[in-house]
Amino acid sequence: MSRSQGRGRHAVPALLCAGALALTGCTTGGDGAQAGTDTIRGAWIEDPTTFDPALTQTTDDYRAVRLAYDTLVRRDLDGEFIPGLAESWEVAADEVTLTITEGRTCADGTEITPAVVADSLAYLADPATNSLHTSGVFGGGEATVTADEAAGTVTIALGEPHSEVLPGLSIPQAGIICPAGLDDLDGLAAGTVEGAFSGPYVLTESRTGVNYRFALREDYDAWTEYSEPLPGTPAATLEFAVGAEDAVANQLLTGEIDVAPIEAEELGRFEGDDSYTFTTAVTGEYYVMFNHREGSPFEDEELRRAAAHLIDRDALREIVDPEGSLIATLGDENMQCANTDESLLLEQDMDAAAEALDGVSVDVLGSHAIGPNGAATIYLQEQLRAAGAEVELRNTDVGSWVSQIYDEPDTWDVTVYATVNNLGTISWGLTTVIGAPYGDGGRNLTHSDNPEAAEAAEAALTAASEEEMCGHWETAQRAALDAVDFIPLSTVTQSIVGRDGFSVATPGGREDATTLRVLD
Amino acid sequence: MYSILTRPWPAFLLRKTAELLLALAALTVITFAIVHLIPGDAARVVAGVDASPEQVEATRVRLGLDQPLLAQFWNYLAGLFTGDLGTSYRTGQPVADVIAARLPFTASIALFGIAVTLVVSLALGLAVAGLTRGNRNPWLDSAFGWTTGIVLALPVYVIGAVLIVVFAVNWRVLPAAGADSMASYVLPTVAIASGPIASMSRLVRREAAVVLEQDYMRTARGWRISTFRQFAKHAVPNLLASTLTLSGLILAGMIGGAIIIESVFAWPGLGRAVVESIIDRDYPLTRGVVLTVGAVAVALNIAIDIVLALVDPRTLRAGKALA
Repeated sequence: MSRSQGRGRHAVPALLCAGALALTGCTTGGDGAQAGTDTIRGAWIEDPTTFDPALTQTTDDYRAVRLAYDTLVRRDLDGEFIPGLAESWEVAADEVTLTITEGRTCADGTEITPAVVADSLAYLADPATNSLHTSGVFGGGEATVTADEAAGTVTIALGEPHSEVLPGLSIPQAGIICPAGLDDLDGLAAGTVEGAFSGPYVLTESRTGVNYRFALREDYDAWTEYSEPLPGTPAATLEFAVGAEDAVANQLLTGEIDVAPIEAEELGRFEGDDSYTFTTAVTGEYYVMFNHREGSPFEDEELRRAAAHLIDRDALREIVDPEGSLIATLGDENMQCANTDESLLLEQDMDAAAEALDGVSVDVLGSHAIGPNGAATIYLQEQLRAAGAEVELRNTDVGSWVSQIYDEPDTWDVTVYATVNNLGTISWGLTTVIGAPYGDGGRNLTHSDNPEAAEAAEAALTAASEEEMCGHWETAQRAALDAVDFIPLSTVTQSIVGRDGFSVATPGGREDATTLRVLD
Repeated sequence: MYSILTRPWPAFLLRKTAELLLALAALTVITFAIVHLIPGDAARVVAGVDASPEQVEATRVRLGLDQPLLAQFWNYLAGLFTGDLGTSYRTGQPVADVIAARLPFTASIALFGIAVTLVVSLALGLAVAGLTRGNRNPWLDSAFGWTTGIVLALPVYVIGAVLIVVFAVNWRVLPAAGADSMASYVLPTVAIASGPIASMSRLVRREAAVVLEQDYMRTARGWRISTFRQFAKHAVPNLLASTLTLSGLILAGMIGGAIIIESVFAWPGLGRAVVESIIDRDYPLTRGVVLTVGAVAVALNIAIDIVLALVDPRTLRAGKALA
């Protein structure tokens, strides 16, 4: 190639760059953090619906309130409970007493006293608040919360025994709202009451559909003390673009974003590039959910067993979440009391399956969101057909799918479901397949009839100690898996990609934006 | 009164006003009805996956979804007449506020797009018409036809993706997404304008070829009038009617068609808002956005008809604008 040709080859990009220079400065690039930066740019899927922790509903709501509100209890990197705003706690079956750390303050300087904590918890526990998280945190019945200023404690008297108060108190939805927020609930929801915030960051800018910006509180020194200190420095500013789900991988590559969750199918674009780090967070569990109601073929345990013989769980895991890990219950190995005994699950055996399923009519309901274009239920359909079943498959959008599962039980026999495990406990998923049916005060969507599993699950949820709880959960899981009430598949994961110079941790496997750091 | 209505302009404006009102009425009914065709229970989606049956029912009552459809329609109409587009189910924000925040992004990209389309396609179409007049440069005629044909055949998301890969990811001279700076406008504008440039430049080239063969253009050339003046004074005015008509349609199409471009470039406009609102079963927001986009499109078409009538009064009597 001649010199002039070489020049010509670069002329077009150079001219375009020159043209764009006036607009951009030609400074974009995925070359890591600029020296001295104190800002981390991330991405959310959508605008948060609220900044009131008790009223949160979506993943982005949880991400936002985690930054702005501290919780009484935190999860260590391995999932163990460690102090947050509470320095210690005593747990009984129907009562939890927490000692509040002295010297913690709200963003407006108000001290976070036991009374402040009690008022916030009482707001979450109040049925009038209409929070989706009340029963997850406090269990059934109405909890009452009292403060003892002299002792520096808050006591939660539960309406009914509940063994999962600590996991509940560790989730962002149970973040402590300061008095200024409780005095102005509209402002609290809009995120405009700075004094409401008890966490490390305050919301400084919110532009609907564009971005949300948080500033680090200058007076904040209550960082969680993990068993291993996090590297780097918390950013002075966190900025999250919204609605960039389809563009976020491009923005990471161009350096417009520093750390962000991305779709699994985009991961390949970063493979082999050492200037990016990869962190995997767990958000829930995938499983095959059977409809046990009368009229469904899977009311019959033998047909559920046959269906389980159809499935190569590892193949289905690869379809639903290539980054996920196989699970032997509705929870991963980091969760308390989680079954890890794979022998309780059935191996693939197509012949045995065909013997029972030949000629059986099955309605498979699915969502386009589970596997690429609903591939998970397409796999089920093909396996059932291979066994001789007559299959009707309907893959719909998430809204229609959820509505049908909850409210139109006569329209489906089997689906591949995914929990968004808010509590980070095995009970969150297991109570969708064990125990009191949805509509009768429970969460069981399958209407399974397995008294042994149901009684053990109920006993586990009201146990006074971890040992007792795990004993009951072992019974419940074994009974449910023996009866093939459901088929556990894999964890639901979220891949977080970071540019060189930035890091994020996942305490207990969960995404937590307060762990975002600029590396030195 | 009767004599006023028989005059061309009042009759024309009256007819256009009637068309506007009819279109808005049809839009109102369609936007209300269409969201109810979306499958799934809005109360369930809004209340949350983990909501109890009681919480779902309470949500249904709070949103007014427990009322008969006619009553819901009446409430919707009553709201519209008082300028209230309702409240977003998802965020609780007034729909009018959401639209006010998002519309400028969509409008700006559409206006930039139409401006680029007009400038580039007029220049390109005239240049090709001039250079290929009298069967000169047949290769150019052929290349122009092929190139514009290929661009027209490419879906806008493919064009958008190619622009991102080339200019943002590989050369890193422009942002890949977002609306943070003026530079952010470049790629979405180019993507949204590329198809219209191809179609409009073909139209301009064809119309200009006819105009350039007219006697008055031959006379102008005989008088040695400069090429620029020939085009500016004689050719362009004769292309205006068809170009304006097409640009009105293109602009309306750009606003309505922003959904794809806004998704590709994470552009925070109405297109993305309506997609999100459908997924979230946020009926008031879906209705509000579709109604607004539809109303803007109708208003634009009528505005173009009026401009055409000003430019060419024959359209007043023709009963409708040239199309």
